[in-house]
Amino acid sequence: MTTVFKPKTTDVLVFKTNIRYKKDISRVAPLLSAEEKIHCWNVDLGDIDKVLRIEAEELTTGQVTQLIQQAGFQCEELTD
Amino acid sequence: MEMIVKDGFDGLSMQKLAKAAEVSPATIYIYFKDREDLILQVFEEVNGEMLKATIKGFDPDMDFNEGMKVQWFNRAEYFTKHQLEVQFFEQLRYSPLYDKTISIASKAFGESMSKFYHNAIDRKDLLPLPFEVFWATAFAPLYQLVKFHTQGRSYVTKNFRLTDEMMEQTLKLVLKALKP
Repeated sequence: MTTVFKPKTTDVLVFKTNIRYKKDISRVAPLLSAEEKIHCWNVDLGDIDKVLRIEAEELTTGQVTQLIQQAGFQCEELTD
Repeated sequence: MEMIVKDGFDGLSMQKLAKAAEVSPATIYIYFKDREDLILQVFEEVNGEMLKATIKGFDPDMDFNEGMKVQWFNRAEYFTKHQLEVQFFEQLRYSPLYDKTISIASKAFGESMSKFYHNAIDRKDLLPLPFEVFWATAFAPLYQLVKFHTQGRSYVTKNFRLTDEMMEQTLKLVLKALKP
């Protein structure tokens, strides 16, 4: 039997946010988890920039910013 | 690791780290889920190197005195030449991440040491002792000597350097204490 691997185009997107506490995470969680393009995500509360890291397929930074704003937070993409 | 030692865990940001490594923060986040993940992966690598250095030329079937000597010299060599790593381990020891590092620590090394320990007891070269008592007696004197060496001084000597003779002298006392 041969296994066919689907080519995956998973991207890692990272954002600086003002999500500071666990209770903040529970506010963005329903929105992020509902988005089907997102495979997994986490917020690095240990880092100064409170980095939101998302593994997703064909998701734009604009879409993420919108989702985060819906939950009442700000985020901006981390770039070079 | 240099940054962690210098600024502490709390001072570590992926932004700063990215700048120092001349890559983008996005690149770092491709490899590491978060800060904790990064620190634990660094620990895993450094710890692996340290254990490799410790068991260089060591065999669990060795005679107890011989095996101890190999480990003493290996450990002294590693700890005197890798100050940064030592500080990194110390920092982890007092951080909330410490519990997680214990589960990473190498199983193979533990098994090798356990075999060595039981061989020694079977051959009547070593007193059967609780693990902590054995470990403290077997290695703490060495670590204190290394500490004096690193500080470059002791309570009474201004320019202290650890020599092979001193180590052999101390090890002899330790082996005597551990003998049934």
